[in-house]
This record gives sequence, C-alpha cells and structure tokens, in this order.
Amino acid sequence: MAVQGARPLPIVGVPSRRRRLGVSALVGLGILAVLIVLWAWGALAPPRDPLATDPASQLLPPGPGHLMGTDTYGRDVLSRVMAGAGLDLAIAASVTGVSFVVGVLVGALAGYHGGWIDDVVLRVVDVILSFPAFVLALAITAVLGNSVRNVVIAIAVAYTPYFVRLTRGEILSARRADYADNARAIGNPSWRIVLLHLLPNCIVPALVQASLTMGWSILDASGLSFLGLGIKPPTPEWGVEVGEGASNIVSGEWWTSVFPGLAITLAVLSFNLLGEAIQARFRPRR
Amino acid sequence: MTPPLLVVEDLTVAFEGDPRPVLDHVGLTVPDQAWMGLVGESGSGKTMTALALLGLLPPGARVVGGRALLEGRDLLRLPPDELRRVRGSRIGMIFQSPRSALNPLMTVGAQIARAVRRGGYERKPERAALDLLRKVRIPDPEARAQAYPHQLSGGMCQRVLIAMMLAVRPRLLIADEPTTGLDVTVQAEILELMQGLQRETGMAILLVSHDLGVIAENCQRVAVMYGGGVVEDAPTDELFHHPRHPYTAHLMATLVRADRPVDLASVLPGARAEEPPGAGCRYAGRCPHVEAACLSRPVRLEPVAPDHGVACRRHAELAPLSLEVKAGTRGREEAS
Repeated sequence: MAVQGARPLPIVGVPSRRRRLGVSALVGLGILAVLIVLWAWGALAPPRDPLATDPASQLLPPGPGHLMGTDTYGRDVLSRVMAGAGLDLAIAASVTGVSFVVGVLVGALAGYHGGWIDDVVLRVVDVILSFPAFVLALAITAVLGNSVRNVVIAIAVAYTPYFVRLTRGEILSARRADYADNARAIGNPSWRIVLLHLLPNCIVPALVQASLTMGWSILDASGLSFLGLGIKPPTPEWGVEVGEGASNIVSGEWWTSVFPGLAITLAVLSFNLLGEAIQARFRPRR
Repeated sequence: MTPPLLVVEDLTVAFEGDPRPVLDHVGLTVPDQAWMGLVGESGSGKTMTALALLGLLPPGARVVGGRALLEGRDLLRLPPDELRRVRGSRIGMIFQSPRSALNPLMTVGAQIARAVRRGGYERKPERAALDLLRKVRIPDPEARAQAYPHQLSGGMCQRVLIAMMLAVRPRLLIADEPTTGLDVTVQAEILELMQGLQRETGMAILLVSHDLGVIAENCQRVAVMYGGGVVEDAPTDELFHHPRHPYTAHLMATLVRADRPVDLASVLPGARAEEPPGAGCRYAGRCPHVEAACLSRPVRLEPVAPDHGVACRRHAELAPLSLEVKAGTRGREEAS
C-alpha cells in the first residue's frame, strides 16, 4: 500500500527486517552466480560452437586453446558445459515451477477442504511416493519418449507430492487460525482466505522444498540423460556430456566427463545451500 | 419499543459423538442499536454461542436445533454462501486475542483496506483505511498503517480490529472479551471508543465478557450463561437489582462494591459445572434452593415479565432473592 508521507516506525527493539545473509546463502548464491555467468557467456559469445565437430582436434587435453579440452568428436568441452548450464537450469526451473504450483494448490485444497478430496489426494500422493523419484521419472520418460518436455513432465510428477504433503499439513494446522476466522467474520469467501491469508503464512516449507527440488531435478535430468533416457545427444546437456565422456576416463582423457560432472555437483550444492539458508532465515518464526 | 434485532431460541450445539450438548436450548434477545451483555464463567458457552451465530463453529461441533432470527432470516439455516454474505455486512465479530486475529504477514493498513473493499463502500480503500485508523484514534496513522501486527501493542491491534469492523459496518457486532488481556486504562479507552462508534453507526453490540463491571457500565440488557445455557435474560438494572435466578443472585453477591464490606463467605460453593447435569436444572448441583423436583426435568428459560426471562422453576416462590448469601448454605449437600 503506497501511503504519502510514510516514514519508518520509531520502534526500538524490533529487529530489522533485513538480516545479514548467512555463509551458506552467500556460497550458494556465489556458485549460482558463476553458473549463470557461464550460461550467459555461452549464450552470447561462446568460445566455440558447442556442436561443431573437428576431426583434427580430438581429445585435446585442457590447454590455452581449449580451457577444458575437447571431446571424442573434437568439440570444445567448455562451450558444451556453458551451453549445458542454460539447458539444465531451465529444466530445473521448469520442473520446480510446475511441481511447486501444482503441489501447493492441490495441497492447499486438500488441507482446507478435508473430507473426500483430502482422502483422494493423499492416496494418490502415497502411490507416487511409494516409488523412488528417479525410478518413477525413468519409467515415465521410457513411456512418453525422450524429449526435453517429457523429461520435465516426468521429474515434475515425481516431485509434486512433496509439495502437496508439506502444504496440506501447514494449511490443515492454520485453517482455523484466528486471523483466518477474522477474515471470515468480515465475509471473505474461502478462496480468498486460502490464497491471501493462509498460503502466505504456510509457504516457507514449500520454498525450502523448491530450492532442494532445483538441485535434485538437475541431478535427475542429467541422470536420465546419462542412461540414454533423457536428453538425446548431441544436445549439450551435462548428463549427456558425462555419459559420452565416461568411456574416455579409462583411457586417461578425464576432462571430457569431469568438467560437466563438476558443473552438476556445484549446481546441486548451490541449491542445497540456498534451501538451508531459506530455512534458517524463516525459523524460528517471529 | 423497537423490535429486537436478533432473537435466538433453543440454540443447541453438540460435538460429534458427545451426547451432552455444549449449548443447550440457549435463548437470547438482542435489542436493536443497543449494547447487550453476555456473561458467564469460562466454559459456560459464551464464545460458542457467538461462533454458532456466525456459522464458525470449530470442526466437529454442529448446530442440533433451534433458530436465530436476524432481520427475519434464520442464521442457523442459511446456505453457506448466503451466510458468508451475512457475515461482515449484517453480523461481525471481534475476536478474543487481537494480535493473533490479524494476518502476521500483512501491514495493518493493507488489512483494513481489504476490509474496506469487502464492505464495498470506497473507491480509494487506502485512503479510507487511514480515515478509519484516525477514527479509532490510532496516533500517527500514516506510519501505523505500514506496521505489521507484531510491531503494535495489544490495544493497538484491538483498535485495528475495530477499524476493520467499521469498514464493513455490520448491524450486529459481537465483541468477544474485547478488553481481556489489556491493561485497565487501555480497557477503558477501548470501551469508550466502542461507545462512541456505536452511537455514531447505530450498530448493536453483543458484548461477551466475564467482567460484570464492564457489562453494568455499558449494556442495556444482559444474558447470564451457566453450563451451556442462558439462566436469565433481562434489562441490566432489573438484573443487577432484582435477580430472579439463584445463580445471578450469587454473581451479584460476589461483586466487590464500595457500599458494603467484602463477604468472603459469599464465594460460590462447589466447582463449576463439570458433571453432566442429567435431566434436571443445570444449576442444581450448586443451587442453595434446590429440591427434588429440580432434578427430574429440564428447566427452560421462561418469561416472568415482558422482557425478562428466567430458567428456574422456583423463581416465583423465591422472589425476592436476597443478594446476601449466608455462609453455610451448601447447595451440594442439599442436592445429594
């Protein structure tokens, strides 16, 4: 609400709303920033075309011309890692976006309405959760066929139940909170009470979960690709690159898979640290 | 006399699987444009009555019988969607703990502005919210509008809640212990504020409280609740000076007053009604005037004067009830 002449409250002892970021938040954000720079650099001015093969420069070790060396087909590993950053982060963001929105809304509905809707939702969630997320995603891509869209759908299906459960529990315990009853006493309809009053107060666990899901979905997407069920080669994707380079490790050309593998590790680490930071920032609550 | 705004008859509420109702044939008459008090001990059903009228009973509790006529419509039988429209516009409520009744993540200004929009009166809800903050006498409203509930004191939050109710302007405002937990000077300010606003808007106020002093000072009419039912419903003067129900008489005797010494022996004998009352009068377990017939069948509120109801089968022979309760009249022994 914009109010003319508003000024800070002269209140002593209320902690400032901006607290200092913790170490894990800083490290997590730092790594994420590096990955985003890599992606932007690769998108705007890649050192080499990530798809261009060059029979003359196969499996060159890291050096001045190719900072991360070249792979079996003579493609520049650095350019491919950069291009992979864009694709993998986009997949992670789509998976997280879809499972967050769907999971939170379904969870809120189940927790608020209760009754048979809650029963049906919980049973479906139980069924999905009874499979390990990765195995489920594997089965779904095997059925749907491998494309970027299908990989996103498969992983999103596997992670949505976590959001459903978290949000359902939070809404269930907050649904008769005094502020919700007060909103009811003014005549607010149920959907306004859920969306405007309950969800904002119940969203923190889902935010933490979202950050973790970012990391896990990168791991799952590249895992599927590594197994040949996700993104198809020669698309520059970290899992594809690790998979293609795996055979070279035995013969000593470690750089073809170690660098994309390192990128996966750092990305997952960054999102896990961010998740931890979000949790620390909001707990204990006021 | 103008017709009453709300007439509650035989309101009965029970929890699922519990044969003993928490509210048993509650009867109330709330006059229009006036203050009505609802007194009783903790657990006597005051808040439950209020929640039942708003259709906001806790999960598991449901209305088993009775009716509550507000402007000719039975609140207890309205479909959920219509009841929602009645809430706010016809009947509103101020909850017991002001701070937790506000959304912790929204500034109070935004919350009032939302209530203004709900009320549907203003084109500029933010401006209207500031006016309302001024109206409930919050100093420096521009700055306070930007504050979150945890940055305000309890009394301040109570004013914000009142402002929200003013935004939707209900005909009947239920105030559930609006001054509990506030210090005495703030209590007086809040009540004075509500007095002024009541005169200005002409709304009726149902003041739920266990503070007889507050009730006596503000209300034109009082209903006394005991153990899930109303035992007496009368104009304030009548009730305070000529109580017709033994429990009311007892309450009056326990009041600390300047014009007589404190009589510790007047403390009510027995514990508050916890045992199932069985078929008879719900007050029988502690009543000094109990007799065998009181235990055999339920006692309902019945008129003893045009606007005076009492739930006691001996009210006629006992009148006038002495305000002084003698030491040693142990209702419990006589009852058993």
